[in-house]
Amino acid sequence: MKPSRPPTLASMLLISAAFLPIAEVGAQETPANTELQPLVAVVPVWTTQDAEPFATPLASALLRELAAAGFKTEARSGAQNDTDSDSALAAALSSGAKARWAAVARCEMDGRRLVWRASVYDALDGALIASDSQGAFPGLSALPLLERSAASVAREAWGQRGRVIPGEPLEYRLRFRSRNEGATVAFGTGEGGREAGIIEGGELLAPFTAFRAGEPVVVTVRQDGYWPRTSLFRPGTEDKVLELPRLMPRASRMVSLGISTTRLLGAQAEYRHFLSDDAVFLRAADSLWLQYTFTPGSIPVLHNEVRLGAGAYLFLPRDSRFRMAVMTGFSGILTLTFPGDLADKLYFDATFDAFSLSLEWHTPGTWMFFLEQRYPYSLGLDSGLLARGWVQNDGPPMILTAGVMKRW
Amino acid sequence: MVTNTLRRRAAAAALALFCAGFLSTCDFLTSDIFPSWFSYVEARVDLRSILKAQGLGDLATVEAVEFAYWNQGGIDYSKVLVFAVGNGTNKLILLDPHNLRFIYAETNSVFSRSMASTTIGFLCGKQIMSPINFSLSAAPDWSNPDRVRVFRVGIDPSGTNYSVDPNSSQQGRFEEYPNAWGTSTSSVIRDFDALAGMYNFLDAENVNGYSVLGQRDLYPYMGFASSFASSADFTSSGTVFDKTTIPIPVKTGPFRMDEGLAWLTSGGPVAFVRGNRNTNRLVRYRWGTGDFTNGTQAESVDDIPFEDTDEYRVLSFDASGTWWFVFDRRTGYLYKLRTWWR
Repeated sequence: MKPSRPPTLASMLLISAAFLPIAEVGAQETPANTELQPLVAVVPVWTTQDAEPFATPLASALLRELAAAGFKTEARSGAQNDTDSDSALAAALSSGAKARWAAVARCEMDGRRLVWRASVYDALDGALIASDSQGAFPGLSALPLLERSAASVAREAWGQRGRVIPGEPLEYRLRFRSRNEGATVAFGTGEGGREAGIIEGGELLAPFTAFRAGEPVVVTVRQDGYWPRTSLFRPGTEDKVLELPRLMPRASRMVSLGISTTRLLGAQAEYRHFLSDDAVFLRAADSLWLQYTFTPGSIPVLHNEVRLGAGAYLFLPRDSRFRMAVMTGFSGILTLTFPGDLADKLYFDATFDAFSLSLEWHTPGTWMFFLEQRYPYSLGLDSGLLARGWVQNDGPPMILTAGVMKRW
Repeated sequence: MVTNTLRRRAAAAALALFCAGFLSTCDFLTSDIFPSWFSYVEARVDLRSILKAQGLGDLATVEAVEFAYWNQGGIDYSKVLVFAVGNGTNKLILLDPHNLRFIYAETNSVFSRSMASTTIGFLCGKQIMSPINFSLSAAPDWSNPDRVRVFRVGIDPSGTNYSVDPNSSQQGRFEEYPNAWGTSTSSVIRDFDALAGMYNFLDAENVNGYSVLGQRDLYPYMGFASSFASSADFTSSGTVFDKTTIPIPVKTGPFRMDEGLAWLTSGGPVAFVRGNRNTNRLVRYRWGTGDFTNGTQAESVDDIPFEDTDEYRVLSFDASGTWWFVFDRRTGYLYKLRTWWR
């Protein structure tokens, strides 16, 4: 009579696992993933007794390599097991340790040859995410090979740490809504993208495509006169309309109207001509303002400044809502005074616009808003009124201009 | 829908409040990269070129400017007087009172910063120049020709001359001279205050009565003005700025002033006040406000910003409160400006 086999580790863990809810697969839901800790439980297993001296070193190597890769690890004591599969052992180990991943370091003898297998399983769906299997002479020479196996498995497992459970296949056709009438919608990007259709009446019913719930669906929208835009959706099992963001118009020209500190009794108008759409531009601006102090002795002085320069948008994509542009250039300021006894009524100053920064908010329409900071340097001409040096006033050290812009 | 409407209204209200806060100060409306006083400019002249042409050299300094009214026989002989020093020379320069065009220049070693329009001509230090033929005659032998202040009462060319000649920082000689000058008809030495306080005596004019202006030479270096109702009061005994016995002058002050720059005008004393971070101002104070005894400061009527640079210097205010003068040391231009309250 064969002695009754002691309950295996796997059996005990499996019993306790019976109390765990079964993972529900599909959509963005994961099987009790809130209960799983982000760590790897490692257990050595040997099929035969003479394979035991190699199982522990393999498990230790796995622990070290997984920790070095970035995982939190937890060691579990091993046991001889020649009945349960590695996947079953891993499932039991994960449920017992509440670990997201389970690593099994199994060693066995194949005749006089040592054979080992290091494997890592994801408890979300029990999938095998990394494994390595080798064999060697059962001696000291096998130890470096065990290390190498463990390192390989750890690298592979780390690369899979972000995986999600594949969802259920979608049983409906994706529907899109967009305000860009006539825009072309494609799945994917670039040359490999597959056309899904054209927005008509503000909507598109795409052809049936075998997407899975929760999986990323890359959608590219294009339209003449607009910057293309790629969006990422993760449709669920429920059929919902996917809202496509509005495309940002391409601009080859812009005009703006603004008002500046130090020139509140006036306005500034600007024209930009883009050398590269929404990127690099030449600009011409004119400011006209009255200098007047609202006191009895004050007679208005008229100033007119013409600015020429160039600028470029920096850092942010061309279809961003928020954009920054830096500019430089020169300006000439004509001043006209009116008192009869003033021999010189006309003055001319020149400045170097060393640095201007424009902060802009671009709407998907044709209108935008801007706030420009400007630091002009006066050249101190004899014909003018400004001294050589950075232009100063009673308020902030720079000239601020705010206003609206229109593009086309 | 309701929420969006409320958000729009809230945004509009916030924007309106923001703008109101911004625009509530006149300075924000009037702040400019050009000199804030430029809208008051009436005329300007390249004074540095004139000084060089008069042999005062590149390093000539403009010491004082005075608008001197003078009429005779219905003819206006008024001039703008400029006292400048350079190459060891003291020079009095006369400019057209309207457009500041150069008229005449005279050199004399006894010319000094004290300038005024008197009954017989333009006083400059210890000399008086005829407005008609520019001939010179001797003025009284002042003990302090740089600090003496002279003014005239009465229509041109008659009238009476008055002077305050500080013989120390604690007292001055208050005198009355007849139309043709000569010997004073009234003379008294008056302490500036009963505390033997030291003062920097700045101005004396026939505005708001017979008025004098001084700066207390003690921290916080405040300004004081006293206005006497008559010539008799002007040359009576008693202290000047804190007199409490009859006849009691109309006292104005203490008031803030800096750099020793303050002037008497018909619209009130005007003083330069230095502020923090580009907030210097020219402040006009109301006659008869303030309390010398308890230190209550005089009431400010109005003020304008004046740039905090080393280039511009306010040189004088005309007593009638019509004009004031600024010298730009960078360009060498002298500006004649309208006051902001007339």
